[in-house]
Amino acid sequence: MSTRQHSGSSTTGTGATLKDKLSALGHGQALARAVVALMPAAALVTTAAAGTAPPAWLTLGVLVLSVGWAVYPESAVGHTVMVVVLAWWALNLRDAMTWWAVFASALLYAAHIAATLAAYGPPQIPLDGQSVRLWGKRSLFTFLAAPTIYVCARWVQEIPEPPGVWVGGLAAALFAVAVASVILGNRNPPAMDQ
Amino acid sequence: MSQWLPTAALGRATLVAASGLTFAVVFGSPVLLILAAPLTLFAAMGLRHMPSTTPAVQVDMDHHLLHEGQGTVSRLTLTDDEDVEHVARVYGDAPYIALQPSNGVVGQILHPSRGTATGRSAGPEIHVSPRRWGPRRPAAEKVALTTAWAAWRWGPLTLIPPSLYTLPAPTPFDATAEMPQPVGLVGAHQSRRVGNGTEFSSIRPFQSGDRLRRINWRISLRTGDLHVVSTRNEEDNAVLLVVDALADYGTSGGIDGDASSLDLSIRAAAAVAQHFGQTGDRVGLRTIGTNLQSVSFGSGARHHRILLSALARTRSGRPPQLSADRLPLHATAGTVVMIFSPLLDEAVTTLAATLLRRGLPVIVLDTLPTDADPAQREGLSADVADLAWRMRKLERATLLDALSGAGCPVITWRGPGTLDEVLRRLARRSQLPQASSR
Repeated sequence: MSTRQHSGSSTTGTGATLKDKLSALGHGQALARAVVALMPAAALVTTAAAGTAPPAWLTLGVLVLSVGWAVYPESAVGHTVMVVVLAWWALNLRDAMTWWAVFASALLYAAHIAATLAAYGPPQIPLDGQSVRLWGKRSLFTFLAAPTIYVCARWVQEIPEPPGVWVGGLAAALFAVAVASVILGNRNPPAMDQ
Repeated sequence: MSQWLPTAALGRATLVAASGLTFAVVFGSPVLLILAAPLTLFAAMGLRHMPSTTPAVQVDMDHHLLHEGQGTVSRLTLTDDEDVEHVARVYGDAPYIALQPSNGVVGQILHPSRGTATGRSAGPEIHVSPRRWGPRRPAAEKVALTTAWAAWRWGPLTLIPPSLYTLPAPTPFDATAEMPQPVGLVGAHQSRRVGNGTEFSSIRPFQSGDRLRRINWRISLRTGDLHVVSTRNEEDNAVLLVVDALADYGTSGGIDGDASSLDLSIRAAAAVAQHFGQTGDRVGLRTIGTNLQSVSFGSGARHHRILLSALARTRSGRPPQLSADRLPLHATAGTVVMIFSPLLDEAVTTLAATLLRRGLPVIVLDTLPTDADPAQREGLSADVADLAWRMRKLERATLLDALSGAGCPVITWRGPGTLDEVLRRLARRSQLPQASSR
């Protein structure tokens, strides 16, 4: 009779089901991915409060894309979702100066930060308190730009536009894009899987 | 060789910031500036922290020699890590290696004041514990380093952790019975020979050379001649452990799970070696497997470590041209031979019978797990495999009966006290005159 070779107990199975994968997520990861999945659609729906409700198909599409982004936080789906939300705001509320824009900015930024935290490693990587505190401080610091711009915009809204301000702005934006493109190039780091 | 690459977070922030600014300018809409402002700052901070150093990572274990079930710490050392803020480690899955955390995934923000004096800093730790004897190599691990603002990533790098050499776990074992034929020099067992021990043997007339303190004055006065008390000598014993590694039957789940036949053999041999080594007996070892190993007789802590190392090196398999007559056991007269075997190979039973015919006290410890199942081979139906397995067990039962009939006790290993009754019977039998053949 032949012998049998046996391996030890497995900690992570390669043929894990979706249920196994979900149960392998820690509380922190699950929360971060839930934020990624829900916040972009919420930022889109916020336009309803500002006066223009998005169509259901668009909301559903953004929600589906956001769920995909939550599953793969390093994928380009996140880029697409955020640009779609921005485009909807640009097309429908370009002239509105509302506090809801600050709120939508917070939602979009929360999704971005949550995806950044979730992408530190594989889905099983825990989110420790130190990381959350550090990113909480950073998020608050950088998010202050949104209400600041809102206040400034409300302040200068009554002032007549100086000639060439938008051309100068366009030039500045193009310059920033060019600099970022040169630095970033087309390089993308490989995903970190087990 | 890896390099720093921008992360998806930096790319996303840059793209959204650029899109927001462009839309704002094209549509003349300040509301888009509000939406894109935090991401613009994020992108700017990420670009500002573009790394310039070339970090190096190294993985090592605190201990390389462990017993089953013991644990050690796998440490990650980083050099030139000024730009690194976060370290993520992912251990792969390896047989008989347990990790803490159990999924082998850890991440940690490095402290800003780390390694300022030495230029080195430590990453997150992973606790590693081998669960089965033998050389154990943890699976390759992946390490990723990330800069501040999660903007740039180094890796993931694949690192090979060092192997862990795992000795059998110290199993509790005790035996209080006397050894059957102690024929050594100085030890703890009562010998049949008269000598300078403490156990009473007889009272006999005084002879030249007897010590005066041995004179029994009461008998001497009564008989009128000097008589002395003679005692039995106390000698050590030679114990030869023979481990049958010709095959491994059953399922091995490591130290916490089920034990295969080879697990039982190795752990039982280690426990017996430790017990008799501590009592001053000389213990030797022969393993019969792919690698025929031989450890000469000896005692003491150092010799015990040598025995455990040899046991841990045991590999199951049948060597070519195995013959029970040609196995170099080097068992001299009086050596107690203990064979740890599932007794499913004819060579082992032949070996036991041969040793028995030489007059050596032989004890066979049956290590076949009760739940051992037949292996499923490709092209062989389950019914046929089951039938073959039952036939094999019938043959085994016949062999066991034959061995027992020839005077070789076959007992099942059950830990402390396993050998007591058998050793007592062998000690009684050794008092009787015996005929042996060479």
